Amino acid sequence: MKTITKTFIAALFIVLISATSFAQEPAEGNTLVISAVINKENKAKLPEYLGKMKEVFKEFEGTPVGKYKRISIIDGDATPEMIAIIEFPNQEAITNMIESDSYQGLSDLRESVFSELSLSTYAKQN
Amino acid sequence: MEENRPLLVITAIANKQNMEELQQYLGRVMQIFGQHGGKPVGRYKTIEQLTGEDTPEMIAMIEFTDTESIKDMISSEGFQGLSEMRARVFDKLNLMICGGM
Repeated sequence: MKTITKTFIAALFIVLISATSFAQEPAEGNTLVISAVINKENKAKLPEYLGKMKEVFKEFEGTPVGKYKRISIIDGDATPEMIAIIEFPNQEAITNMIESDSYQGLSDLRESVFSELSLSTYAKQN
Repeated sequence: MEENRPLLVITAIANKQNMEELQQYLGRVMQIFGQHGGKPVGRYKTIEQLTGEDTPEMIAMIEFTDTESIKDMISSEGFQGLSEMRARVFDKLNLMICGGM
């Protein structure tokens, strides 16, 4: 009886571990990467835009990972001048942020400060 | 990641026909980065393009001590020696040096 109980518990343990493995969620795109080319005619407005966007990211629990400016091109022809990386709790937070009044309300300013703008979600790789 | 240290930022679209070779390439090129003091800061793969065009499928950021190290690495025999493999495994490849804002 004790052997049967131990075997049953061991089997149950294995099933639970397996179920947990299958239940693990696939990699989610909770990293927002923004790459942009600045409109030089409106460069003076860029700090205002970036300051306001910082608040919008915060509203949706976005944590800035880094903000980078291009120093030089080594190879390729599709290089942005500026890259910003912001981590969110999940992909839904990014979608909610993009659809929000706060983000949409900055669209005129956004169009004036950037010649090119690309937003994509990424999953961080180990 | 230390402030004021330059980053080598690589954006790319992989050649789907050579995905196995891509893994080999990534292993080798990471070693070359390391030989020149490069430290991986982050590696990302695209999930979804929200706005804009020509989103890369992968982005890698490697921190170096200074821009000279990056340029030495690029012109090194090790990195140049991988150029044919690099041409096979990527449809598009961009490399740039970036600094913190």
